[in-house]
Amino acid sequence: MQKYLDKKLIVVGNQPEAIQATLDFDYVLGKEKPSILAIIDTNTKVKIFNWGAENITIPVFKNLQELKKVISINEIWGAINFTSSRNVLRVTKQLLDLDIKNIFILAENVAERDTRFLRQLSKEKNINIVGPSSVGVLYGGQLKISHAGGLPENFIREKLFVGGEVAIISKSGGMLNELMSMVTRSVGGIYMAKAIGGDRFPIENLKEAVEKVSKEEGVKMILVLGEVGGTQENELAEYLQKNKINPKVVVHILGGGAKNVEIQFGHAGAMANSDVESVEYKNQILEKAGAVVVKDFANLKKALKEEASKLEINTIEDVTPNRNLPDNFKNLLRTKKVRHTPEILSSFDYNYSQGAKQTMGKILFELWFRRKADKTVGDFMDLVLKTLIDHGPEVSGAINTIITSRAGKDMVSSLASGLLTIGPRFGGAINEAGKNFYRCLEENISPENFVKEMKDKNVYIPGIGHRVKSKTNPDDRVEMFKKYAKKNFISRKFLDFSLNVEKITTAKKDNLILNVDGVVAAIMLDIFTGLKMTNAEILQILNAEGLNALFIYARSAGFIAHYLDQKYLDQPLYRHPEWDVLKI
Amino acid sequence: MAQVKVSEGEIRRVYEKRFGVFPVSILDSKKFVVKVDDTIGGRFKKGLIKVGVTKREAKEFEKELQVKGYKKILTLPYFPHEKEYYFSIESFSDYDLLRLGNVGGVEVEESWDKLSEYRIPIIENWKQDNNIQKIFVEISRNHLTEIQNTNLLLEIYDFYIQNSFSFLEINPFTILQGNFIPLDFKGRIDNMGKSEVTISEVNDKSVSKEEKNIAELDKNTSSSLKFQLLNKDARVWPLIAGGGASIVFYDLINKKFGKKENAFYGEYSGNPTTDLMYEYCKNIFTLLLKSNANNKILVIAGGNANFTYIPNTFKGIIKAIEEIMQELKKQKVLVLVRRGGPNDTEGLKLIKEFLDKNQLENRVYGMETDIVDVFNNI
Repeated sequence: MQKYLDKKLIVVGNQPEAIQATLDFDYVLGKEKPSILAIIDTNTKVKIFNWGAENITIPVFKNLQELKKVISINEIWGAINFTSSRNVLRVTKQLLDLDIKNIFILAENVAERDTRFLRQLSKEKNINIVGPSSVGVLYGGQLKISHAGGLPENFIREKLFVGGEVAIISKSGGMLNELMSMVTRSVGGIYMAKAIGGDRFPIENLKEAVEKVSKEEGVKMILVLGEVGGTQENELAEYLQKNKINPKVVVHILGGGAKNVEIQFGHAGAMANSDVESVEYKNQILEKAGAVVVKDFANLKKALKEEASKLEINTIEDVTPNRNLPDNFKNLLRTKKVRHTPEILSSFDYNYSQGAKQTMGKILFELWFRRKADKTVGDFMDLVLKTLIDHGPEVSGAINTIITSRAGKDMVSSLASGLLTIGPRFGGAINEAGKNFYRCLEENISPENFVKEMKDKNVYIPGIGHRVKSKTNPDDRVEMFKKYAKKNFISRKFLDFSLNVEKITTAKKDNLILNVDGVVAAIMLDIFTGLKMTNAEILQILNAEGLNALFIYARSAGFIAHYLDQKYLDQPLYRHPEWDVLKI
Repeated sequence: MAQVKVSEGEIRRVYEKRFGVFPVSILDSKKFVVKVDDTIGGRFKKGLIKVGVTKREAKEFEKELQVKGYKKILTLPYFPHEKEYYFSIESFSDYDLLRLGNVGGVEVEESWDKLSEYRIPIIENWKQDNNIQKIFVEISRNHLTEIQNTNLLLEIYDFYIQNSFSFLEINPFTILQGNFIPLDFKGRIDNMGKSEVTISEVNDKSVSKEEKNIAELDKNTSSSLKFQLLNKDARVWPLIAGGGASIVFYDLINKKFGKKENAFYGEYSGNPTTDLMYEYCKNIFTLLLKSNANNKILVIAGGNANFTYIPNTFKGIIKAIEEIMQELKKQKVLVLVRRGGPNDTEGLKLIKEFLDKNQLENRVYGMETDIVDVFNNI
């Protein structure tokens, strides 16, 4: 009676939920070890599953050849084939070659020719193949193969952990659990419930499934759910007519309402091509062959109960499983039955479909500074980003990128090496300049006092000074930004302040002009003010180094270009010339 | 995912691509055959075929058919002939069955027993198989000896396999000057296999926009979404999960309310995403609202699912209901829910709270209620 309790399975393909449900079924029954020995899949060597409240691992092999080296084929009773319709033929042939005696195929939409070919092979080699389009098989209180029986919530509630004397064979996978519930709730325990799949030509057909289970000890009743279309029920009738089998066969055939209507039901086989495929005909010949034919689904439960009482099948008593499963943490959390403080908090929400319709400048302004930007702001961002992309191969970040690329390193390493030079001396001045300007206006520090203060500290003023450009030879990028701000932005107090600082510094030295960093910082602050950001909001941005995002983002594009350029030119490892190093 | 009927024109196109067109000039035929190129049966009886007409008569009949709404019409040269023959191949679970005989056309209906039958076993490399070779040698020895190409039936069998036919009937065909002339084709292909034969949309004009939309959704997902409109002014609109349960409900609704009140056949399965469910429902609800019936019922039901995650599908349905809430209330649509499966308690609670909050008349059942009791007291 308990001959399936210790049967072991392997699984081909990636279906962690189905595997976990089988392990849960094993655990609830009180098994010492899981019934799944191994998984055939790629990418990993073991997979983690729950075993009650504990965790266990199941070995994963890349293919059956690898598995064979570790696991003896004799230990394997069956294989669950989860591969897709395109791979079913190939994988199932491999399983047949290993002589695994029971194979379950879950894939839907397998070509009829592939299925029929596998059927011939299964007969030649005397191997049971259930499917395609099966949802699996459940041996009540013994073994759960694939999705049949559902998840723990179902198989515990519907008492499928109890064995019994009723077998169910269904073309429909979706109705399999429904029928199991009907039986366990009002008739008795399940011996076996099998979905043979709704295809027109399943590998194991209705008649064969009934024949096999009828020969098993302890089966008193077989409930068969057939369908309109195909001739499998007719073959079953023929078999029942010729052979006396022990269990009582109770049949309902779906689709009786489809008479004279051309409907292709959801199952591939469910459409009557001729009269012999109609429900009426099937009902008639099955009845003649001695089966209890229930014509109306509404009467099925009643009929099952009646037959069960004749056969002395007992209803299931109030039982609990041998072992209880702990609640699933994720389920409890989702249904708010436990509480938990998350470790990660995020207020970031980027809608890519909206993003696709906007300019990069607008998107970045909103992502970085958390305010809706109008077109003028977005375009200013674009302007700045475009100008900041590159400043030649000589600057420190580009040099680093070039050297790293030439050392044979990859894109990310080369880019990172360039980015790591960005800081107080290279490229990091925008945010510093912004901080200074902001402090001055907040604390009413005049440009004169500010310049004096910086001189007293003996530091360069961030955002002021250029190596070559001067008052007489101005930086055209700065001029462009100034022009844009004057044309488009009303609030310009930071720009005015920075220009006043420039007046003082250029009076001292011609090249101490307001540079790109300074002008961008000032205009960005003017934009923030124009958008009526609070002091706290602006400080938050400055303290988080927010203004440097413009430089870092734009220059990354430039560094990538330098990296690629070096790769395209196939430049060798760089070594700095000795004559250029003074050793002291 | 099934066997699908294909039209004569499509079969003929692919057949002629492989076997060539018989040169009409030899016969100098000035007569034609005109027929509606559709998969519907009994075309002769319905007056959709005319045989042996002149060019002018053919044109007139074509126009006549077009006016009636038939888009695809096949006009072929008419071959005057005396003898008609029958040939077909059909797939069965364990073999392919070849039938052939000297009785063709409609007469074959009364003469099935006069046909010779040959069973071809299912073998992957069948061309190399000695047994199958022998069968075809026997066939060509016993039948159609007047055909020049002794390999023809074997080649047609190859054509059958290459194009994933499940059924192919050439009835009738005739033989003229040693040539095999197919006069009519009928067939079904397995639409999961490879085939050059394309599946034509049946009765183009009668398929609703919503059915086309859902067919398109179904095509682009690994889940299954089916919808076939039966009665646009029906009372009962069943959103059913699962191929099997959908037939249960189909039968149940027909019995309880009568066939005319069953709006459509449909099913969703294979764990469709929330978004897909929303799109599926939106199309169906458009038609539901248009129905002229009184006391409409929206059924949201299914059996006890194996792996379809109930709250996700319900969320899609709820989203679609929300959009037509006012209209549903105005029409006083009753919502019946019955479902089991992964996280069913959570899903049922979700939909019950939603329907109650919006004051839509509803009844929500779980696994404690049998499928057949859903319509009690209605």
